[in-house]
Amino acid sequence: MDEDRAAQNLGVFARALRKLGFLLSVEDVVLAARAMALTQDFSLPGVHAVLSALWISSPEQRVLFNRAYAYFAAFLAGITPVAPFGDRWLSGIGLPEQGRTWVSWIDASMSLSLTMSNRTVLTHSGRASDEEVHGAQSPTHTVVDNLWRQRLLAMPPHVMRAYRRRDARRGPLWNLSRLLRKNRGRSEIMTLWHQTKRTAMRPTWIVWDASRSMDGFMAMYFQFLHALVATKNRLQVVIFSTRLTNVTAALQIANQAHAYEAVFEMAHDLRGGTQFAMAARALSKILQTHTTTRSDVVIITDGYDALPADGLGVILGNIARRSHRVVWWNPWLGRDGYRIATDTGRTLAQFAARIEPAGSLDDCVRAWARLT
Amino acid sequence: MGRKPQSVDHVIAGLRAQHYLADSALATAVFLSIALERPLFVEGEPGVGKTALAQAVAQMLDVPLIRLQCYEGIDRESALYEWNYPRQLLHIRIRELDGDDRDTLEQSLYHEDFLLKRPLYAAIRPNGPAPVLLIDEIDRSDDEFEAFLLEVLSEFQISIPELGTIQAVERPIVILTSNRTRDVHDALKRRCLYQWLDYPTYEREMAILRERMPQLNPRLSEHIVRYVQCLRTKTLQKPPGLAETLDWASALEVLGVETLSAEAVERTLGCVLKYREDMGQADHQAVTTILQEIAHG
Repeated sequence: MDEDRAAQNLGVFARALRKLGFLLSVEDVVLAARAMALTQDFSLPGVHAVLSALWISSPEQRVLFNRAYAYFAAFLAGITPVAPFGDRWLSGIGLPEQGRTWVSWIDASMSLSLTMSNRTVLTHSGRASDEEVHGAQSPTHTVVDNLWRQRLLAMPPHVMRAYRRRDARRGPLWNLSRLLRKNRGRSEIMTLWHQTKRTAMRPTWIVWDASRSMDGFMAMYFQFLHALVATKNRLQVVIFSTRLTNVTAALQIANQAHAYEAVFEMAHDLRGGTQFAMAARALSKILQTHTTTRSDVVIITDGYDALPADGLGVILGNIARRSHRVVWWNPWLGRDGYRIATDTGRTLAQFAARIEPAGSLDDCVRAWARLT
Repeated sequence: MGRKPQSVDHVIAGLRAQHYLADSALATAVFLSIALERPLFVEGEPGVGKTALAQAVAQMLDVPLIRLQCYEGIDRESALYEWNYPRQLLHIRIRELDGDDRDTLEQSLYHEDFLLKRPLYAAIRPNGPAPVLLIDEIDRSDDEFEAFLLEVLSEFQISIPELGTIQAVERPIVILTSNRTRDVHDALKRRCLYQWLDYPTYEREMAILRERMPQLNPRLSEHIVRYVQCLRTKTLQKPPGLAETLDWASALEVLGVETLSAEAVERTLGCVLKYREDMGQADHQAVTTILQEIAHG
């Protein structure tokens, strides 16, 4: 095996993966070369096994990696690297042609992150369906208001009561003779620690409906949640319209414009039709393997659903049972003439411990303060 | 450490000897984890064999398995070490009777003998060969604990103020598992090799069942696996994993079932489905339909 050429190929492949959003450093490439020298298996499956163990860090990346690897292998074998196997996913991995209409959603407001635009396009085309790629996905403009941001960052933490064991050196003074007497009476080994009360952050899941009917509120909720994530509360934010995507990592990006772009990169179904029951089912599955009986679940939705609410009651019952409480933030609540008319809305109202108006940043701040 | 595998094939064979069937991708990850001394991060649905992998690796290498089960609120003390205060107190009383002076007494208190060694400490300073350290369900722990692990897993050393820094002589093999209820931080992932374990395919599940329960009637094995594979295509709260398949096969064997009938399925379905809502979907008609599907291949 020509080691120079192998290393060169690894470098080329790593650069291609970087364009697809993989965070690979030179060290990762060196490590891969070392690993391949250890396994001594330079067959396509062998190299795939090594690189996937080293360079992948999520199931989503695995899908993308597999496609890219197939493409790369075809390229090495001299097969024309244009949409191999007629795969629509794979066809997006090459450089986008100039003037293609489907890059149009990166508008002027995103110019500061144009360097990332290539990655944005490629990641989308690597994962989204054809329909979504060609769909007009233009993010609503965010209004960065510093005064509001200061106010949002000053929101109270969402805390709960908890206990902590403190060792004997730091607690109140022990009466040693009394303690020895007590423990001798119980014939047990003495425990030299104190239990002290404390407050801890309450784990909170925010389920954010980003379907078309919530379009007008999207920028506002983004600002609110972006600030909320920055306050170090124990938050997980999931977004849904047709499927559920955890966008907490995207919201943790400090730069607001970049965070906004990252949310768009992660959630491909924004402004789709609401499928609340499916999203709730997915959420229930996530919660069932997690110790969340102390967690709050905040559902931000208007309650409009593209599908009938069949079985939604059972799913919401599960979620309510597994969590501390379910709270519904409704952007339309409190407005003149508004009433909950949909089946989904009525079912949700049945299981929500509280329904809060959340049509503005003011409402959201108040609703958050009332959670504690 | 006992016998370090020399190649990926050795790992496959070694794990197979422990009745764990690993494909080449998983075996490569295990081999590299041992050879490069990097932790292996295994993600997947519950019951696909993540914990069993750690057990099999420990048995394969003939080293002890140390398990750290993560939970919400787990802290440094529960994972690393605690001072054994009752023992220190008793020590003081005994030494006082011997008439020791105060300074000598104080110095003698902070010794490794008075430490309650928790899993991480035991893995870094084992009594025998370097063990396999299983950090199970890391996604259940808090961010603070994850950050603490970051430090331990990168240096394999711990600092105890009273004793100084303790470094691992031989690095343990670390396997972290997660059910992916939340995303683990990238910084931790970057220090690990990654492997996603999926539900097994029909062929693989058959092979595993035959490996684990060779005494089972082959036709019954086939029906069990087909039934479970069929259940995984339904919309269930919790699709059955490999562990459930093995449990179910054991239960049917204990009951002396030779052929998978609707009655046998209904009696033992609790081994496979763990939610009332899922059980509600498996009424007599649904069970019969699936059995008919299986019968027609």
